[in-house]
Amino acid sequence: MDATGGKEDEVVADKIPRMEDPKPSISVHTFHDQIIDNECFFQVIKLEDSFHLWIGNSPATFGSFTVALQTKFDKLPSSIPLLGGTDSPSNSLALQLAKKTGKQVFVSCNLPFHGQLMPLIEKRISQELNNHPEHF
Amino acid sequence: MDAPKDGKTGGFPVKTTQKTVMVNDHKTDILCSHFTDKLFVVVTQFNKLGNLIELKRDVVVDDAITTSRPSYSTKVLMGRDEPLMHVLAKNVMGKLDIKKPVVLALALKDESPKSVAQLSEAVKGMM
Repeated sequence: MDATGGKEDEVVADKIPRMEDPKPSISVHTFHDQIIDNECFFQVIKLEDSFHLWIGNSPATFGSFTVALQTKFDKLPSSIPLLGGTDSPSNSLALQLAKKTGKQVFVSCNLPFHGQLMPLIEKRISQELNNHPEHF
Repeated sequence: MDAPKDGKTGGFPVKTTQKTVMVNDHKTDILCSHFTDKLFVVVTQFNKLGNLIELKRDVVVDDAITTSRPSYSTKVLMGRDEPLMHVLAKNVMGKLDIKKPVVLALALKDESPKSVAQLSEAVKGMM
């Protein structure tokens, strides 16, 4: 993503020694979709061997946070909630994504629980994962 | 929120800013996501999240007692829960004046005070 707000950057640049303009190693990808009357927003932060996925609607909140990763001890990935309770849909979503990608996955799902919504959210993420694997 | 249709964050409810700086020869990626209830900050030299620390601003009743520097309560959500990690987190975020709780992802190769001061300055410049 382009660094906007050039003025602020210049002020900081004076104080930080810069060898050259380094290229960012992490990238942000956003997409959104209308899913059963809910405008759902997605943000993916691509990291090394892992990624962070935020899902929510407007206004954006950051209520739950779960990490999941594949271990050598079990076929199923392990997950642990870091923020919020275990009842959030973040947990199952993180497990599924960890299994599918084999990466360490951080998920923050901030949608009201809705039985029919979650499968469609999962479908939308899989679709993005298949169409744009370079963003994950 | 201004919504440039071609921009990646056009109409997107989360404002995310990103910057890459060299701190003591270590390439450092800094990323801030602004949520209504929280701030998510990534400061990484490993291209990974590493340690996750939650910082909550302490409630101050009388401004006269506390001086310029805000105080935070820290909680390590994931990673090395040792005193140094709490100190690093407080110092990286210390210069900011944010009321919202912060979730900080910190993965540093270089944990020297000089570098942390530069990181703090860089994070402050992004707000």
